[in-house]
Amino acid sequence: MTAYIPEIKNPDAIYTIYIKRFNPETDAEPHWVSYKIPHVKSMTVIEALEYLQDQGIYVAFRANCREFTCGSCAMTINGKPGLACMTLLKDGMRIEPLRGYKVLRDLVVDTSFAGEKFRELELWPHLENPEARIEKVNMKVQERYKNIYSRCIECYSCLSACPQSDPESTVYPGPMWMLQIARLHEHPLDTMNRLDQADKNGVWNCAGCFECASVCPVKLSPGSLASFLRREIIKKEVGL
Amino acid sequence: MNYKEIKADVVIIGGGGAALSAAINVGKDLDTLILDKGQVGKSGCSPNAHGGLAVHYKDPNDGPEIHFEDTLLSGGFLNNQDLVRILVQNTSEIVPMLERYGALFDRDEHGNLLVRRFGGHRYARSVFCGDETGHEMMNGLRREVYRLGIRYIDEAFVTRLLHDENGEIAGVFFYYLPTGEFYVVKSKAVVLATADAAGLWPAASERQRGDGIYMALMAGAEIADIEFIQYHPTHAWWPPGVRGSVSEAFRGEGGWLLNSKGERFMKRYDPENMELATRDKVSVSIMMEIRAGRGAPHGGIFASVTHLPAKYVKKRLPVIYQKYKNFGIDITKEPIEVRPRPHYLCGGVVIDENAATKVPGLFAGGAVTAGVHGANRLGSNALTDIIVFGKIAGKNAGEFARSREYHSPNKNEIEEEIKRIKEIFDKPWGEDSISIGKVRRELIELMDRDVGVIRNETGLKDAIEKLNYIKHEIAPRVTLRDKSKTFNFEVKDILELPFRIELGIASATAALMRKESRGTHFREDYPHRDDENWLKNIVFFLKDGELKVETREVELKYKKPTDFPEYAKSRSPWH
Ligand SMILES: Cc1cc2nc3c(=O)[nH]c(=O)nc-3n(C[C@H](O)[C@H](O)[C@H](O)COP(=O)(O)OP(=O)(O)OC[C@H]3O[C@@H](n4cnc5c(N)ncnc54)[C@H](O)[C@@H]3O)c2cc1C
Ligand code: SF4
Ligand code: SF4
Ligand code: FES
Repeated sequence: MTAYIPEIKNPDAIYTIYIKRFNPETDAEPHWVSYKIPHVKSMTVIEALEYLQDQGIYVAFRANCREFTCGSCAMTINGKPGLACMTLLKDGMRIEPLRGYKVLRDLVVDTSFAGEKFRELELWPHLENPEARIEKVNMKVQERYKNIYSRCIECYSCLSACPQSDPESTVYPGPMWMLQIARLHEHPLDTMNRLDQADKNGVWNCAGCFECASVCPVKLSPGSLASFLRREIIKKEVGL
Repeated sequence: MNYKEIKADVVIIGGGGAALSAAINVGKDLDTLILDKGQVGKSGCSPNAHGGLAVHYKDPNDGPEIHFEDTLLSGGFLNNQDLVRILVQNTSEIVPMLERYGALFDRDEHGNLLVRRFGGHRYARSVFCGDETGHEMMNGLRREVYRLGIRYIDEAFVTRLLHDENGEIAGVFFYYLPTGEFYVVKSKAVVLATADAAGLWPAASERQRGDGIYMALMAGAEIADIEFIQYHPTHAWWPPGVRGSVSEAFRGEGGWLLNSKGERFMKRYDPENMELATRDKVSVSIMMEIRAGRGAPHGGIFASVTHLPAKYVKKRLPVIYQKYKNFGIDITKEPIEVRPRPHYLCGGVVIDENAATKVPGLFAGGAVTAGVHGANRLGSNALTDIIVFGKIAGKNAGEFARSREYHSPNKNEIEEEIKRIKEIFDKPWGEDSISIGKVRRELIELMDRDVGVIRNETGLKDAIEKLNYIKHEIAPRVTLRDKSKTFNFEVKDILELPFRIELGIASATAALMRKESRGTHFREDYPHRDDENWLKNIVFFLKDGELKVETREVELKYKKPTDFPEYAKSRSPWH
């Protein structure tokens, strides 16, 4: 998972960072450990973790692309969810696993809920016929796909930050799922009633606090899609 | 021996585009299981491909034939022409299919798909979705996998392919990263979709570590063309936080490449085109400067737009400007350090038109294979490759599985693999112990220096000697510090060590044999393309447990270099 970076030979400072570590084989409770990291300009949290690996200290974390496109490396950084590969390293930084999920080891949490939710919500187009094809797309929808739907990297940061949802929540699955439902609602080939689905899945429970938007690493506002779906529901109800 | 046994008619190894395309096409009547070392849809290169998917012949003059020719011209005619044929003839249904799965590609107001043109393609034929093409493609494929209810196991690191008594595939062995448990999956057919091995070199992210290429070789398959490592010329190099390629636009908009003396060194190598020389030429030129001791302080070279008005830069290069700005660097005020970085290994496992390898029951598709791209891959042909050949591999694996019962995996192989991993855990840290991090760094730097952009006989011989030294003297000293079973990523790095060493030796050996320059392979002691002697593939395989290598004439079945007089006349390695 680590990548190759040139060796850091002339650091501009030595930073101390704190990582909440937990190994279920040896620890009863998670605990904070401090590490010294040579710092150079533009370094992010991921390089600090990789630096430690290079020293033989394998803090467990997930990462893949290092370019904020795979959504694997979300963790809680100074109290807020964020991507390790995107967040600039600061002296005294406190790094812990993404909140709200079961910690498996160190910074690795159980994210198996995501695949289950995809299936539960049937987040694929329900086709009118198996050969259906897109002929034309509303330009607004096209723009939303390009700028919103396909840019969500499913990092779960917004789910972690949303005060109205948690992984076991039955009242409100959370912002990322509203985005996904809206995505299908606008997909030209989907025939399932997604507004009904949103209605049954707690779309009215979004509190509009926009914590989700404040943490989204790719600057989306998934909570706004809950509002969008609500507007669509109302529009339909009043027959517009 | 302590391991768990499970079963699946067809096992797919990998969680990228090729793997999912395969899984979807196995057939609903069979029990398919995806095993991914990372997390399905988040691992590998597929979700990170930005640019495009070469599938749409929008221009009336364009078509499969022209796409076919472009692919061969880029690949230096080392491609398997039957595979390229299949590639270009199966493009038309890809977009509608992915859109039925839930993706959506960019269109104009009339509903026509938009296309981009990539270097080496004569026409614009690559569809895209903003800058997230690979991600959107995966958005589709993943949904279809969910819809079909296909089983998958994340963080299952396959370390060995298992045979039955007759040498046919009978299953796979995996190390389960979440718990450290050993698993044997009995299966009737296996599809390898584990991507290439660019991570043997200093890739920006080591998504591609050669697992599948190595495992296939060890299981009796052939591998070819692994001397062809494609570097992207101007990749972000320093400072370390900024990543990704600094696109061609940077040079196109008037950016300069400068050495430590502040000279525009391209004047030495291509005074006519300067910074706008072709990709491979720029890579070679940069590495020549660095080698001559005129590199930037951290081993790269400077790229600068500071001579251009800041306003112009912000307007013409918004993406690069913003990217660096996010990391606290203003490119209008200071030069950045870039360097060629490996992107894609063109070779891999040899397959036939059915995506079958030499080993009965073993299929392969996508970046893990050889043949489609020859000596140099065209941009945006990889995504086409993985969809088309993933599908063929999945379909044929399904067919194979239907014709067959479960066979029993060889007990000795299972025991050997368990023993090998157990020994890593049991070995105590001692006086001459060495950590994997150190060895990994050493290997990557060695590959980059001597088996990288510029090669010559001395360097390659030296590399082979050093790699053998590491294999025999250093690797046995590598010791695991952290002995825990839960999410132990250190053990994963150690388990990857043989891939790095063996494939490194093979790649250097092939590069030494190939006394010419072609595609991504540049020998400064043989700087010209030599069609008379080298229209050949270099193939590796095991015979009686020993690694053998052989050259094979390329079958120029449909087109040959002389069909393109200008190309045939030029002896330039690059098209
Ligand atoms: C940054 C970037 C940009 C790119 N842009 C483009 C582009 O615009 N157009 C284009 O055509 N191509 C592009 N490419 C290339 C293209 O993305 C890849 O070649 C292609 O996606 C490979 O697909 P794949 O399915 O074969 O492998 P991958 O998507 O890399 O998947 C390999 C999978 O195998 C798994 N795996 C590996 N080893 C094991 C093991 N031992 N056990 C179990 N699982 C294993 C991995 O976890 C991963 O899931 C780009 C590549 C990169 C890195
Ligand atoms: S705006 Fe809605 S979805 Fe977003 S964090 Fe607040 S409650 Fe959650
Ligand atoms: S909406 Fe943003 S924060 Fe939420 S999962 Fe998608 S990318 Fe992550
Ligand atoms: S590593 Fe992919 S988003 Fe950070």
